[in-house]
Amino acid sequence: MYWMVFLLAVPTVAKAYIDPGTGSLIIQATIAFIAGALFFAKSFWRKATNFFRHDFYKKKEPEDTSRKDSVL
Amino acid sequence: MIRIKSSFRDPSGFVFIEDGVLYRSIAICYKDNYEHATKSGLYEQLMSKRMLVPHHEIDSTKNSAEIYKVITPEKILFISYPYEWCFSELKDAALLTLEIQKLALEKNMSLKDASAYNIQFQQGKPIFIDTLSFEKYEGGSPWQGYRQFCQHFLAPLVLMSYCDLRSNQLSRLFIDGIPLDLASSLLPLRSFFNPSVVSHIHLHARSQWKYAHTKEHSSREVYIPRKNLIAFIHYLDLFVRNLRPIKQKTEWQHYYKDTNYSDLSFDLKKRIVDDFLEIIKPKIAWDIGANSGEFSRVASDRGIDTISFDVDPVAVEINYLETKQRNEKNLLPLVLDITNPSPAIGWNNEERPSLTERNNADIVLALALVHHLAISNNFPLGMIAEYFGRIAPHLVIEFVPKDDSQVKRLLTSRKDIFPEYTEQKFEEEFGKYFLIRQKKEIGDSKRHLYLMSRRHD
Repeated sequence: MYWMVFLLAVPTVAKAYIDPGTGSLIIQATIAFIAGALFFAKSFWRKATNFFRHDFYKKKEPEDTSRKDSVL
Repeated sequence: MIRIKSSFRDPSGFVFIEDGVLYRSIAICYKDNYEHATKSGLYEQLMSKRMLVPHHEIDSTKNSAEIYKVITPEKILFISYPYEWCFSELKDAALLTLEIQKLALEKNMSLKDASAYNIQFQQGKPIFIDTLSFEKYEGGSPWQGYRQFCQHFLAPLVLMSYCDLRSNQLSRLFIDGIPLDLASSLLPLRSFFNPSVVSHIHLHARSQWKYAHTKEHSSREVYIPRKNLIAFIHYLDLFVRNLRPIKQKTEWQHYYKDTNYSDLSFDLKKRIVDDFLEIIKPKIAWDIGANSGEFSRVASDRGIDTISFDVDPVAVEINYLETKQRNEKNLLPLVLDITNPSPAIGWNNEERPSLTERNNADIVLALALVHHLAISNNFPLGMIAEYFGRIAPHLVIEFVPKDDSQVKRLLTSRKDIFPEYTEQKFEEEFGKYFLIRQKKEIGDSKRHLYLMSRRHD
């Protein structure tokens, strides 16, 4: 599981007054990577469903009016 | 100037008291961060929502080469500690920490620590008290307080959710939060079915252990893109929000359904307590052995700031949920075993003062308590009187005689070694420390309520 994190690990100089703990930082990066991916997937899914929903309604609307017209 | 003993870990500043006023001194090294938090509007935003304790800057002659500024924060009425909080109090404190971290990130700042001791309860709600906990966020940097957040908040919450509500008492042993390897080893197998528990506790503990024993990454820090960090905080918040306390049956949770009071006596007892409070007119009341706070509310409903202590975490949980539901601003329920009250802990036993050192009560309520101390715990009446003499300028205390059904129940399975447990001896021992001002019978219950005032006051 940690292999993904090794790709993200870069040396920086930021230091805290408390020890954040290397192990804690590594697991945080791993979870944050997964959380970021989940977030992205969810927003992508929402956008995609919204797009098709709009598309569907856009197509449906004229059909409805035409039906109304035909009734009239 | 009296420097607060717990204020030494962070070089950004320290807290002190002078002429009874609380001050926070800000060091030169924190100047940039303080100015950023002020100019970005973060302080203003957090203070207006009462998420951060309000403060005012003062013109101070104390400003020197090392001191950048001095501020006066609002004084907290009663300092309580995480090991005195019930599940929902700790959960609300955790959620406040995460909410502050989210708002800080919006202003390009981040919490540099996540200590549960940075949260206090004021006006019925948790509030963040460490004004100097914010630092400028550097793109890509992780949340430095994550380890502390897991140890101070997640570990006790998860243990109270999966194992036992009393496991929060572990925080009293470990001042920097419950070690994650310990939490991991205590959690049951079913906790492995929760991906959040697995990642934040079990794998986190393993990761800590692994990197504590290797030197290869000791000089490296990880890079976390901002959007990933925001998603991380979002899911952490969701995880905490969904945690529930374990369903647990305790001795005291149905106490009021199980007393030998008739409704009439119960109401009469409330009226007598109310009358006594009217005589004393205290500002702060402590109710010891408060259960779910039925009688604490007699005081708090009069506008008296009331601390409602009980040993039972379920009763305290019920009490806290009610304060939230009723939006009560002057009642603070806390978990406390009065037979073993919170000791002073930390460096030199001075970082977190004991309960007795934090005593600020004008009046103490000890209702239906003495028989538990004297008979269940074998405390001689003289010792009980001496303790209350130390903590209570005024005392409302109930004496429950031996022929009361509750006392009979305590004596059913043991030898009666308490020949001195009598009303006469009770009055004699308490009379050494207190002046007995009033004594009232509680209807048909055979019990008596006393109003006493300390002799040398």
